[in-house]
Amino acid sequence: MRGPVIVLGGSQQRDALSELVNIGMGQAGDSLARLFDTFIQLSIPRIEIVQPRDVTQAIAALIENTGPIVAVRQAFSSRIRGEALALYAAGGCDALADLVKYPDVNSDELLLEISNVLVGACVGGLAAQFSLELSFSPPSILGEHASIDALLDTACLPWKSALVAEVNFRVEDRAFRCHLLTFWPDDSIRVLLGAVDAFLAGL
Amino acid sequence: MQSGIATLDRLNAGVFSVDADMRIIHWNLFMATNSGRSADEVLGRDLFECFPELPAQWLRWKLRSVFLLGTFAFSSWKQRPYVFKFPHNRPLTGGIDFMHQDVAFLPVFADDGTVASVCAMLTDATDAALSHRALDQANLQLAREMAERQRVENDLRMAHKLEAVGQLASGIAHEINTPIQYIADSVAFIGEAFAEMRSMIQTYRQALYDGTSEAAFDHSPDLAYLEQNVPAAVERALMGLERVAALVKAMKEFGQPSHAEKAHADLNRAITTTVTVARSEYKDVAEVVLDLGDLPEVPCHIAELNQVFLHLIINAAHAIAERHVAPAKGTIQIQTWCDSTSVFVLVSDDGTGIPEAIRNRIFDPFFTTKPIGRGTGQGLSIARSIIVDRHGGTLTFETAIGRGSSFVIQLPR
Repeated sequence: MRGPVIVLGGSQQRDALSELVNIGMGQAGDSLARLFDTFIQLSIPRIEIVQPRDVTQAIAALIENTGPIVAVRQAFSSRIRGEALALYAAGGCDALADLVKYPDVNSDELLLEISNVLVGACVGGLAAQFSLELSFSPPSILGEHASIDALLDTACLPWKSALVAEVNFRVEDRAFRCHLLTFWPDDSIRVLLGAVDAFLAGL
Repeated sequence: MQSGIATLDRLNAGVFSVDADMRIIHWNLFMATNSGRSADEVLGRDLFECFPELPAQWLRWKLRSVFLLGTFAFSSWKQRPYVFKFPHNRPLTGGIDFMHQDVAFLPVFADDGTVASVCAMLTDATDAALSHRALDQANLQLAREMAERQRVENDLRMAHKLEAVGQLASGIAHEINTPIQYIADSVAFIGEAFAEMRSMIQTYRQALYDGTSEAAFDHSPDLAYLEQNVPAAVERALMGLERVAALVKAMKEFGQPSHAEKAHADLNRAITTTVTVARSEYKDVAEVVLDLGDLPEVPCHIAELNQVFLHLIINAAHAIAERHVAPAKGTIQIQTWCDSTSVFVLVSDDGTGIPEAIRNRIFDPFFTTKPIGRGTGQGLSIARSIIVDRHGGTLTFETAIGRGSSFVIQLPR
């Protein structure tokens, strides 16, 4: 059900949400480092509430890139539903080919594999902060060498507001950067903010 | 619990679980049936020992990621057609080597929150894979056909352009011939005048030598006549040369080759060029009035737009010729203007107008009302294809019997 446009309640709510996202992402970073056996640099997560008409600009601003990108999407659901976008520069995950320790990996499989791992770790880590058990759909490639404008048809987006959490990853000494954006639309934001309020009340 | 296992056994999907040591701890009927190994044979044993044909490094990495991250992992037949070499479900129809599979790997948590085991769910994606393959083949065929169609359209446009150039050729030759004639007459006159003046100079020299200069002046040819007419002849010759040069330049611009990529071009200049080269087609029946507004350069295939302008001008001239009897002439008006998103070109005439019965057919290929040899019926069809398909614009018209027609081209800026 779509309701009115949502805004964050106040600085306390935003700060608490940022902190929970930060903790979730940080734990994910540890797991990823152990999986890949290398140091993963994670940025401080950024959080915004966007509306459909602004979403393309918001994505471009978050990832500081308006050139062609490679995008993978993956859905997750439980009491809350959302989608994650893993965005890469052209070349995708090719720089990480040797980190997945199996032979004959092709470019698309690597892209889906890395994206699934990043989304699973980060969104799963975030969900754990809210005691949510998520189910994930298989990842799929949304666009290769596509412009940000071409990723989403902003005229047809079925939500009024979406909470976007962005974190980006770098891997030491490798030409690799991924921006991971998780979108939590409308009702899911309310559930998420309800959980934040409950967390604040319990302090 | 028993009913849960029975349900898993009835699933038309493979379900199996392994613990952290890769020992198989669950194996449903689908897995048993397709692998030929019963649960009793494999439970408690190492997955990779039981199935040495598995892609071990790949599968170990998948399972490790689930154990470590506690999150899902997936495998799609699109990237890895099968994990287990299971027989497909097409013993009769065949067409594929093994059952294609999608696999989802799910973490199963212990009470302390660690991942106790990984459950894999394997679904038969063979039918989807075959449909996908058929779709890929159909897409490939479609792409080939579209490329062929594009090639034919390009050929057709080129043929039409050549036809237009051919049609213009005799008119252009005439247009060039007229100034060439008066250039020739003027140059001949200048030649004769030069001979006379040389003779005159000889006479003056002799007279100066003889001391009879006054008599020489009395007998000189008409110097005033030469003084008046030689500069006029030079001017006529130069004007003729300018006219020929302008025609050649316009013809060169009009006939420039088409390019695959659009380039920014000045439509007003293209219209002026086309009006110049088409003069022989309309000059006996119509005056052309240009009302060209300020236009930005637009991304376009200018050589193809020249064809469209030419065709609309020739059509207008033909419509006027049917209505006006010489020496009366009609008017072809060409206007350009723009707004924030588009540029517009209007070509209107005060000819016969288009009969209502054929208005919905004028853009059809090979439709023509002109006598044999005057039109192939391709012009407006190609014009619309150039405007709509090649430029994303529109080509519309309004017409009234006995009053004329107006065609409006809209092109995105």
